[in-house]
Amino acid sequence: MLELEGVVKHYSGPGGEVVRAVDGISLSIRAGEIVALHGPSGSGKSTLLMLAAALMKPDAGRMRFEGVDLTLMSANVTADYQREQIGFIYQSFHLMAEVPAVENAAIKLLANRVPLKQARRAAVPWLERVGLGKRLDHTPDRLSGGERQRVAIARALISEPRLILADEPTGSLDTRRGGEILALLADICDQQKAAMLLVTHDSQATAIADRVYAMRDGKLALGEMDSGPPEPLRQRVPG
Amino acid sequence: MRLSSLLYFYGRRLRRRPVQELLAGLGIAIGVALVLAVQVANSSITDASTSIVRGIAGTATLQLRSRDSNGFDEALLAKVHHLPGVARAAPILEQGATLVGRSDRSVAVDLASAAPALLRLDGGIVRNISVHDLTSPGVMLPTATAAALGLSPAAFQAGEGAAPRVTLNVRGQAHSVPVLAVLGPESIGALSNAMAAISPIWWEQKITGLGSRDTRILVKTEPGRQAQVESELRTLAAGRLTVAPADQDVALLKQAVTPNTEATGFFALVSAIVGFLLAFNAMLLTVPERRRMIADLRIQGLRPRQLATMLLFQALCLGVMASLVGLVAGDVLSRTIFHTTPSYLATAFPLGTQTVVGLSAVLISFAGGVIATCLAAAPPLFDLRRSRAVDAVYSEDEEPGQALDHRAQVRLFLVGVIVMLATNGLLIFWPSGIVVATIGLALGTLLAIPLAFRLALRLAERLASLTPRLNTLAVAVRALRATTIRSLALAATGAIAVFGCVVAEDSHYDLLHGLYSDYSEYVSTANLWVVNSHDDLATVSFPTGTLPARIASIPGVSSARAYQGGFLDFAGRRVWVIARDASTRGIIPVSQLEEGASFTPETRLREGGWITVSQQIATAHHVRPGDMLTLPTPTGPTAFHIAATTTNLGWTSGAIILNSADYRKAWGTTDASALEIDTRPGANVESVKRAVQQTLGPNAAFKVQSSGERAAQADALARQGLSRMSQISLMLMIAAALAMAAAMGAGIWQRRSTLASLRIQGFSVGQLRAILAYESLLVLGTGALAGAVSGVYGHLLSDRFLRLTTGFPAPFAIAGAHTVQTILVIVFAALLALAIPGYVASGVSPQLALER
Repeated sequence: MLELEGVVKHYSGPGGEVVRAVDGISLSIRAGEIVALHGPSGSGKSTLLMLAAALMKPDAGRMRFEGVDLTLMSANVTADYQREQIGFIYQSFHLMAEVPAVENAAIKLLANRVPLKQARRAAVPWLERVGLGKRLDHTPDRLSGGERQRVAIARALISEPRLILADEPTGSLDTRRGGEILALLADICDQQKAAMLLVTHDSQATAIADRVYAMRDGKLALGEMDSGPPEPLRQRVPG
Repeated sequence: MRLSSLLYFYGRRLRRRPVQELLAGLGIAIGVALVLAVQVANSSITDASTSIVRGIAGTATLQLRSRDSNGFDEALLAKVHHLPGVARAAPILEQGATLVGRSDRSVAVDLASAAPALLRLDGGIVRNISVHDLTSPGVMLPTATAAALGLSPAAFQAGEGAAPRVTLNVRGQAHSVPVLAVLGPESIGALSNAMAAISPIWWEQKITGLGSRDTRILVKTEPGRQAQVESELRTLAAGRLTVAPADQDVALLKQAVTPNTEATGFFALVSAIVGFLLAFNAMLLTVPERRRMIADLRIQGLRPRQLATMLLFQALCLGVMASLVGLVAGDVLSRTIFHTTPSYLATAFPLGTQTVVGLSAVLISFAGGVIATCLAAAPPLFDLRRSRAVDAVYSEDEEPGQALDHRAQVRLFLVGVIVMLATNGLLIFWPSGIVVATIGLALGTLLAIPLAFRLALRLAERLASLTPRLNTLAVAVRALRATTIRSLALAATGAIAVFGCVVAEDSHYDLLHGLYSDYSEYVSTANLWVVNSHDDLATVSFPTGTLPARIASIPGVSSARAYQGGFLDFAGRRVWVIARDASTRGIIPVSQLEEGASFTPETRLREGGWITVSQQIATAHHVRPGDMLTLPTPTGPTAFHIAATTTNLGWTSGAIILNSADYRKAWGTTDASALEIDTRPGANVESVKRAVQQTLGPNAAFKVQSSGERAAQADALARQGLSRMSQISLMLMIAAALAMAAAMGAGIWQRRSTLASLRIQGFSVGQLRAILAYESLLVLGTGALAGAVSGVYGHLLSDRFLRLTTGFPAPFAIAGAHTVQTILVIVFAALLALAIPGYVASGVSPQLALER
């Protein structure tokens, strides 16, 4: 489904030095597969996610989704890809400040010309699934950090994406709520045959992954987290 | 995205950020209101006059017109009647006059008298006047005139007692005359708003001493024979009378008000630029937040077109709402504050007083407001050009969406300089393109603000580093740097506000100063003047008889001489003619000379055969000093040499000066329009003035004035004529101070969470106040300084516009104290208005930072 081949992304640092955020990574993810990435801050995990979402262009290498080269897409096709094929759960949420939770979750449907009422109706079950059924009309400033994160998750899932890109999706959640969200994501990947590239520091999260990679200085290495082997959470997901 | 979704999102935005939207809307509404009000007020003068002129002329299409107020023999009417192709003809006798009513209320009127034949021309205005009305001795007054004289129409309708009487001053004599009727709009339509008096022609001929004389004959031609009749009328006129369309006054008035309209329009344009730029800056305050919104939506996969649609839809909503509010405010303005008819025009044209709102004025103002809003909302769209959304905002330093790096600042500055140079360079090839140059200057100022602000912050930082006690200044500088776009928008608001006020205020000051100097010089040729009351320009003539000789014999008087003058319709203009005795000292106001000073014009005018003309007249006829110009005088075409060109001497259509001997010959009259009196050295001018008044007698309709009184009267007249400019300047100043205070206040209010963060770091309330004060001073100071510098140059351009385009005397002078005063008023008012939000915001609870 998603194939990265020798992808490179460099930044210029404050002193003019070159920061190798992503340094020749090759990675392939199949439908229904969950791949987890972990590693220290600044190792290039988020950059890799943004490259996969076509939010950045790589300096070198090839990136294909369903055989289509992401680096050659026009602005409109890129927008369609981001809206219809992927669901990105951002670490910093990126919610619209003046808009309540239900419309924030429904934003992609509105962009697809779905009438407002219908879009709201479609967003409600997703917000209920992430435990925000009673916060539908709360604007982001009236939600806690964890609640905002769950709105962002509902927004990412509402379009039933083929590829989920999750940047620390449980970073603002307590252990119990984090477990529930991870179970939900795993469930969706199972049922919809969606692939997921998951960046996390949470040892729980790696438990749902089919493959776990460690990232360091822009390079990828197959490996478990330092905290030891996680509990096999995925097997505990009912149904 | 569906319309319902777009509306929903805008509704959410409006609820979430009402202050930002209100600020932006306020700026747009101010601009729209000013543009509409000035357009309506200007066009109302000519539109109302058109209703009157066409309502009188009715079906007549041509007129034969006298070139002075003495008219022509009424026997000419019979000859006109007999011309082939003439269907109907009606005589009119018109004179400038003054009516004095109850409690000595007086008003200058157009005394228009008509014969019953006028009724047969089916003019809308005179349709309801009966033949009886046009045969009974006395005057009929439009409601506006009656109201000005303190006469109530109700008294006439009830038929109470004898007809009230008013005093009619005409051709130097006062007459007590009955008022036959007060005519409302139901009788005479638009004329009911005019300052006029209607009387039977035989009666007016009798009281004015112009027996058997008419000043106009209106002619209705048979279908398809207008050209033939016009040709015959020209033959009949023999070069001594004017043959023109029946509604020629409309065209002449339009020409006469054009300079005033242009001058007022220029001021309104400056105000509109300021209004729209204030709106632009208010929108700029929302740019960071809009950029973040765009970035957030882009990463959700919204197409650039969808985002552009959303942004422009929001701008359209704001633009439409604000422009509608502006239209309503503009309409109110045009009917109240701007509803003044320039008195100086009333002596030469039939003027109405009603407000006429034209569709084009409404459409121009509305479209201008909406387009300006869309343009102001456009900057965030530049982010859509970036290939990757996150780079647009989240890769930047400082607060997301606020950054403006040094290279961008330098580039903006260079673009600003190029815009200024390009638009001002245009003036070399296109001298009248001053409006474009002013817009370029305002835009250039705006673009120069980022770099100027950076320099100001550097200076402040340096000062703070040199003075350890100014650590709060250092914090203020950091805070301003972190919110660059917002700070720049605030500084730019100040700059534009000060720019507009300096341009408008200083130019207005120069114009009034120029007009006052002109009039002072013009009337300084005599110690005392005898003129018809309300005849400000001395254009209404009267027979002098033995009056000059009798006045000359008064002790203390060294000489009394006739001053002649009037209006002459010449090549589409109603020109002011000034004829002065060769013995007059300073025939030409030297300060008003434009070209030809080296020709010693004064000497040549005394010699005879030479005239001066206003520069616009010379330009229109492609003549220069030394060339010949032929004037259509009452005795026929007369050629004169041009001795010099002058400003318009305060009369918008231009003026001509010649000596009295030439005037008497060319106009064929010895009638004067004023008497100039020189007093003997040491004589008490006040005593002489009283003696002259006694000599004139009780029935004289004259006023005796010292040259100082006459200059003051002319100054008051000029101020009244230019009152709209004063009002625009004042409104601009108020709007500027409010806009700055509102923008700064909103900026401070938005920063409460940052202030709360400082409080939890241990800053005291006093220190927060000091930080806010430094921030306000740095922002307002930078803006005001940049605005003042470009404002002085804008003032120079504005004066040039007034001189070149309108012909007004407006000598440029750097009014340093006046400029500083203007700036101080705005900045002080803004700081005063800022004190409240600053005081409240500095007392913010530290809890707020923890909540966020």
